[in-house]
Amino acid sequence: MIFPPLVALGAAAGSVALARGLFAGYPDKRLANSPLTAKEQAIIAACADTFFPPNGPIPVAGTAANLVEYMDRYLQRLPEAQRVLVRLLFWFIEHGPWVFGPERVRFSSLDEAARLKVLDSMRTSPIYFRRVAFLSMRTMLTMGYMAHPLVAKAMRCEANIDPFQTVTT
Amino acid sequence: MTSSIQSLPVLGRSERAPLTFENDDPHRGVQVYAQYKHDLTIDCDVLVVGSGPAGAVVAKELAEAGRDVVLMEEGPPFGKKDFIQEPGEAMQRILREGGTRASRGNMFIPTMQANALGGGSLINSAICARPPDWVWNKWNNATGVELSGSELTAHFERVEKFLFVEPTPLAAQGERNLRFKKGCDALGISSEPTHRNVKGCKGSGECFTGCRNGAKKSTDVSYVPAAIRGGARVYTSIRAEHLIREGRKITGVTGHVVEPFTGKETHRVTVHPKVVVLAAGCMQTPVILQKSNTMPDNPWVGEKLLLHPGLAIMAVYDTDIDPWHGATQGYHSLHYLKEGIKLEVLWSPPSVLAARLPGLGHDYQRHLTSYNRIAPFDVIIAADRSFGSVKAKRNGWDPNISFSFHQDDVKLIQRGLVLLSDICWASGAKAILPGLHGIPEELTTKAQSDVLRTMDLKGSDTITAANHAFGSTRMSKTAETGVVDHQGRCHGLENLYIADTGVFASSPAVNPMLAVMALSDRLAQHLIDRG
Repeated sequence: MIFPPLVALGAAAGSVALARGLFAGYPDKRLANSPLTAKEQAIIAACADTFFPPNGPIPVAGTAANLVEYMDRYLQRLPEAQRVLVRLLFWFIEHGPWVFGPERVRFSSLDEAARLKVLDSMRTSPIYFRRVAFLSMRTMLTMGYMAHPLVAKAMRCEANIDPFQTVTT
Repeated sequence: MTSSIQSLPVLGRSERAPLTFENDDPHRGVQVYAQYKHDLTIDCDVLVVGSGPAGAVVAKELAEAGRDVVLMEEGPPFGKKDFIQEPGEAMQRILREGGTRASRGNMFIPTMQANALGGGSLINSAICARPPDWVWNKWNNATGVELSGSELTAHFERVEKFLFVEPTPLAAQGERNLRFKKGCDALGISSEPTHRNVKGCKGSGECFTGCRNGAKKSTDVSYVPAAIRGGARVYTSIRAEHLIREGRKITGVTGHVVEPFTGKETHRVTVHPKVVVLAAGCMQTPVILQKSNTMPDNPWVGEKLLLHPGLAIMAVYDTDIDPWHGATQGYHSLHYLKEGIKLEVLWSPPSVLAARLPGLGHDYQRHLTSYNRIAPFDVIIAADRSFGSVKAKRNGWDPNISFSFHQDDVKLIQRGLVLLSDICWASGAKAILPGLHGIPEELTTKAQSDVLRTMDLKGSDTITAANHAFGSTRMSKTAETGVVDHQGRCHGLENLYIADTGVFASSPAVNPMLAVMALSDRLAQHLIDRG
């Protein structure tokens, strides 16, 4: 009976590999006191600079527009149940390439071109849930991106008429 | 029944909301979270739960008629300086579920409900549209309830007068709204400036995050102050949770003080009212009824939820539109209302709409830089074949919302999209961004946009949202077909009423605020007459 020990060994090795794939190798936290984990911060940073790359028509990259910090604040303000859903969304994007490609590695470990492919495949996916995940992430990040004054200036989307001027009509 | 404002019995003293407030504080007299130091026990004639368009009207009219009224609101008050333009934070502060609420079913449909003094009136675009008379016939067909336009005319007039409802003036329109008018005019489609409850609007386009100009006459700065002047006690940050029923009467209501933004429960609250009016909104009122097991034999509580699904299209021009200037929704077309289609100009915080621009990476950024040349228009439909439900969860007070978008209604919204596309081209657009899955993201000729007509559109191909919700406690002639009678009284109960949009038996065809306010005005008159 040598088969069961082999199976156990294989399962153990698989578990180690899975744990490494899920948790190991992330850079240190960008924001030390954030409730976002190092992994979540890495995912957000990777998404931010893929959605909003540097040297583009708007010369502010996603991380330079403080999107990790924005998402940190955004998550802290969300009710607990919704916070869990957003965290699941991060994981869905990060580990989506394991299932959908183009390479079987984590999203944040891909180079910029491959990340764009991943997001493009989500955006145009025949699977409704993947498209919803894409739109959800892009909506949150776009809110943060456009909140940055340099981005708003580049878009000429600047402050409105003085809102606190006394209305006399 | 009378049909003019002069011949209605005088319900209250205030005919107009004040334009200015003492010490610039419209919320003077409103009880807030910091004032609650211990458990509360309150006696009153009438408890009104919810301070949105329905509850605030009932509270004001009854208070001015001399009733001892308590108005209870779960959310906090927001002053002009509390409003934040950044939509992420604004939605988290003002909206339920942090602005992430969506119905589930055959697709996700985002829907926004406010948790604030003033309810939805704080964050809607202030459109006040009367339903056409045939709507009441549809309600009659749906549940046998008998209402008529002539019966409601005087109530509409009273509300409109109090809220300064007027057509959006040209000065506040902005190019985004005027392009819509131009397109409609070119095609012979009737259109009109939206009637809105505003005074002194400067067209800052910030309705959805709260009016920092203080121009919008949301109920927190109109009806609620009038209710207080009439003697009503207004408590914010208190959530009504359970109704205590004894026989055919509600004898008490219990709840909690809840901390703003965290929802943390602190003190217990008990109210002993003679009459209860639930106006917590069509998503929360059924939850209170279900958790209280108030109407265990009525299968309609929380059922037949209706939405106005809405879909946007963006027109791209070769000249500046500066869409961030101009009234949020200053123009609309009721031309196709009978078919169930309402066409309108759309605006919201720019970044929320921007998320659906085409492209990725640098291409997406390029589209962002052309945002100043874009105008979004939208279609909402009376989705008469699509229904949903609202169910209380075992834990917490947020409901499970389901909604099934019927394929026939998807076809109807597709027709609306085609009409909008035609309006875009007729208004001088150089491209349109349809925002649909399965077709090109940018259509640059009218011929290309024919795909909108020919495609086999599914609901899941769209980014549909729905902020008009109603029907979850519908009005009916008998208890066999609905929850409340033609006045709004719960079937089988003597002193429990519902005033919010849950009572709608069918779609109002237009934005629901004015209709629910007129019905609430009518309910107030009934309660006064009842003695």
